[in-house]
Amino acid sequence: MYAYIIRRLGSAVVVLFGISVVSFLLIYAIPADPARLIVGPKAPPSVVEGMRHQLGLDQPLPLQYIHYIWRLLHGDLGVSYSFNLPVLTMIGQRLWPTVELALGCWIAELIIGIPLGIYTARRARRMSDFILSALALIGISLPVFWLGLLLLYWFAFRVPIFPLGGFGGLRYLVLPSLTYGITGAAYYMRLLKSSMLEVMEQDYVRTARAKGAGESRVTWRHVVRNALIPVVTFGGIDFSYLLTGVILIESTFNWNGLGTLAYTAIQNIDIPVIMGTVLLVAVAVVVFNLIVDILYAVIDPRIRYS
Amino acid sequence: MAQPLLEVRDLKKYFPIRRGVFQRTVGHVRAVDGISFTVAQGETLGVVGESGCGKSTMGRTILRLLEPTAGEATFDGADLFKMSKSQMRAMRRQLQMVFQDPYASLNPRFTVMETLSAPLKIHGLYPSPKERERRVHEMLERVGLSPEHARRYPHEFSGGQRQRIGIARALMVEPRLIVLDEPVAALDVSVQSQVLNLLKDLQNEYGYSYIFVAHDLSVVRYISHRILVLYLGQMMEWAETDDLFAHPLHPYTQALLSAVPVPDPDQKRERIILQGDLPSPANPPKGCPFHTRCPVAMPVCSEQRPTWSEVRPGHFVACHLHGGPSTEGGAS
Amino acid sequence: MESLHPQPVPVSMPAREASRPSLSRRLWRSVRTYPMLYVGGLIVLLLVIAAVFAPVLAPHNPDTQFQDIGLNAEGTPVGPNATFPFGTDSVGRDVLSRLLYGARVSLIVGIVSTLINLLLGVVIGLISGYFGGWVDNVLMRITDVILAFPVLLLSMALVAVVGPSLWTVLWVIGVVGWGTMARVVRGQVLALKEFEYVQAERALGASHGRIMFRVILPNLMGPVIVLSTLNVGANILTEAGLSFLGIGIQPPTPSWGNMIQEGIQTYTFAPWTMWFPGLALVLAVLGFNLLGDGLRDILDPHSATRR
Ligand SMILES: Nc1ncnc2c1ncn2[C@@H]1O[C@H](COP(=O)(O)OP(=O)(O)O)[C@@H](O)[C@H]1O
Ligand SMILES: [Mg+2]
Repeated sequence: MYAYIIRRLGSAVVVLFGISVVSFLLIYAIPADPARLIVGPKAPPSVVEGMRHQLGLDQPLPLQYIHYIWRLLHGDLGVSYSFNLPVLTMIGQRLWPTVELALGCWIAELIIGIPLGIYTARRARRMSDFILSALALIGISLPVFWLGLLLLYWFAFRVPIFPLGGFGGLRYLVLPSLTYGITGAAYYMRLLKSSMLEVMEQDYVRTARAKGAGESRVTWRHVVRNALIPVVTFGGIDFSYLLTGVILIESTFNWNGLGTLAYTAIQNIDIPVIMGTVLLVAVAVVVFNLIVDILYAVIDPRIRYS
Repeated sequence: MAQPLLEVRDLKKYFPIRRGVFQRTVGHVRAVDGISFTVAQGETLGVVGESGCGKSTMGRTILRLLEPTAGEATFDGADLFKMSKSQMRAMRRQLQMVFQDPYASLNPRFTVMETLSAPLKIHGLYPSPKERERRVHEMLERVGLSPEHARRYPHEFSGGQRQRIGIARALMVEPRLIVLDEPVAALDVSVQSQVLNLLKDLQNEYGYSYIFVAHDLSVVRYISHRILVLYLGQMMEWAETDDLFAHPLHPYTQALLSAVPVPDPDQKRERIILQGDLPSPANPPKGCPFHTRCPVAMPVCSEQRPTWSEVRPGHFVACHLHGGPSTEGGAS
Repeated sequence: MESLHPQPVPVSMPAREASRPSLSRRLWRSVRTYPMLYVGGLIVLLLVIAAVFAPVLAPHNPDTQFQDIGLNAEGTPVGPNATFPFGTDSVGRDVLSRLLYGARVSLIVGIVSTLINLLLGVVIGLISGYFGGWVDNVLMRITDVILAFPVLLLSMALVAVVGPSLWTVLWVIGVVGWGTMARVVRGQVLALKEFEYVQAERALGASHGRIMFRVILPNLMGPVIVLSTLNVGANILTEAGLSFLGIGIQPPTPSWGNMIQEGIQTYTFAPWTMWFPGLALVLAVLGFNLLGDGLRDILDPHSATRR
């Protein structure tokens, strides 16, 4: 198992290196000239040249990459073209709202998805299972930004229970989280249902049942606990979808987080900020998946890793 | 005997066992561990042993579907293991294989016509589609099917028919040597003899050489000229079929033979049941690999590997009971 | 193992020829067995018809601003009525006509980007799984890298640097979203290459090209088709997301995403400007999801393609 964990760490390092190459190439291999973007379209060529030199753009690409990595490792993600602030500072300011929203979304997903998964597994092949499964498919097909607008319309505009967007206390978190919860819960529901049905077929569950253990006792003590393992791993895969959802939800609900930051940066073609955000998110996905995989290896040592 | 068609010398195939962070090789599965034999033109060599003793690996390694660990294989004077991949690809015209499972060895998406014309296309034989078609029809008849079958898909055939298709595929390129890896093991007993008869007839007519792999002696007896008995990737005994059945020398061969139903009830043989499990080829017993299960094992058997000796003309065995004069501390 | 690769769908089992029920009964039975397949297929078919025949079906020109009959006295959009079945938008354009033309954008982007995903994913997964060793290692690390970037975010960044247009969106989504396909294909190839019929091809002396493309590839088609169908839905959503953020399809070209974006200004007093494009989007994505799930039951019963 330790060998597996160490190898898993090794491959994560390789992937992080790949991510840095991709984001570097995106910044430097684009058609637009960053120097021109900074000094503005009217600046004379000599000024542009000066800026190019200042940014190190006149150096060979591999050398630029080494500088880039060097700066990254020192936490220097560059300076925003439009705000003239360090990208890291800007990201730092927006990080907490996004983390809060992501947590809210994830919890909403679990709160909706897990009970429905257990319920449909216990009622498999009955009418309620059929209806809920159909609803789940619709949930998966809903665009989050549109669902967000619908919820805003009904629960903030028509019936003003919740604020019309913005970042603040818990009250502000409810609608955005619910939005994502509705679209994402279906995955957890389906996953838990199929993994529960699988576990229920296993010998030890049948034995427990034959010994006369009550149905709900069997469900809770044996089935749910074992069936949750694949749900945990799915959390790792889900993380990347979660972040996508968060970007769109932030823009729908005027939530002042990383998604809005990236969105504004894109409007201004503020490349260091765009790439800083993209890089951060990709790194977060890799690290998160690494943690989930390692946890999984620790929880479930039956699996042979080769 | 004249120059053999195939000569295999000291063939070894080890599969590495990898462990740890850097996937270091920590050991080997000795699937084939030093096998030598010859096959003459028109001869059938039966290869027998329990499942897991390396028969399939041996066949696949000779055909370079697996890369050998050590050894030589000379086919018609050419060293197969020294050939480049492209030379080997051309060589496959002469060396073919029939697989064990007729359900898995035919591509479910190809019609019989596609399956059988593939070898012709691959080797650029019969460039015109008309001629290829004619060849396929001929071959179907040769293996006891009818030309109408060409348009069908594998799932429309029975196991026996599928195996005929598998045989036809191997024959399409007119090979000289065919490795048959348990070609009847997956078939019903009644169908087995039909397929064996077909193989025998084809050999009589066209002079193919066969390496016929099986896990029990009764199947190979009927078709083989000589039989090679393997255990844990090593050779136990090699003799003419009649000689082997009349005078089995190795205790392992005797045990295998005792399991074969006897046609004549008067000639009762006592069934020898082997004790214990088959040891792992990753960690074969020291000395004679069979000593852990041998009913007549002696102290020396766990110490020294018996030599491979020709105890009678054409009858080879690796056993301390029959060690030639050169074996020190042999049977007494 | 046998059923891991799909058998040709047994549409005509000759043995049943004699007692064959009538066509309509067989169709009904098939609909009852695979309801998702048929409902999804029907939705997708309607979508294709809407997109192909948009000029014929649309009651108005999607870009015409009906300043007179299309706007109320206060200059607000008019609700659904006989002339404008789905109402008008903030500048008096017919919502239904824009929806029909928007179907074109969704379908073109969804399908073409999926084809690019498919091509890249299949080639990379096939090479990776078939050759194994260091080739596999390198290609799979590259796949890990691409999978680390959420598709929407990386597409946002790429579109931002290249500049938004239909073609950019289509290419960007195509080039960014092949990771899952590559993984699934590789897994299938690893299993398939041990099959005896693949070994048999090697024994015949077949070239790598023949084994990869003539033998393994056709047997991958089940999972690939299922995954691609689901992928079309996902890519339609990504396009809508980009257009919603204003970096996808640019107005005045109608796309459901930018229609929802424009609807934000008016939806408190003219909710249909936002409802209809959203419903169209849900329906389209649902159609592909249903079709994909339905196809899975037939083509990929062992499910290599679960997300
Ligand atoms: N690709 C492989 N990697 C590792 N071990 C293998 C491989 N193929 C076969 N073996 C091992 O080699 C031994 C011989 O297998 P095989 O040749 O299939 O035996 P047989 O055909 O006699 O049943 C077995 O112990 C098997 O587990
Ligand atoms: Mg075998």
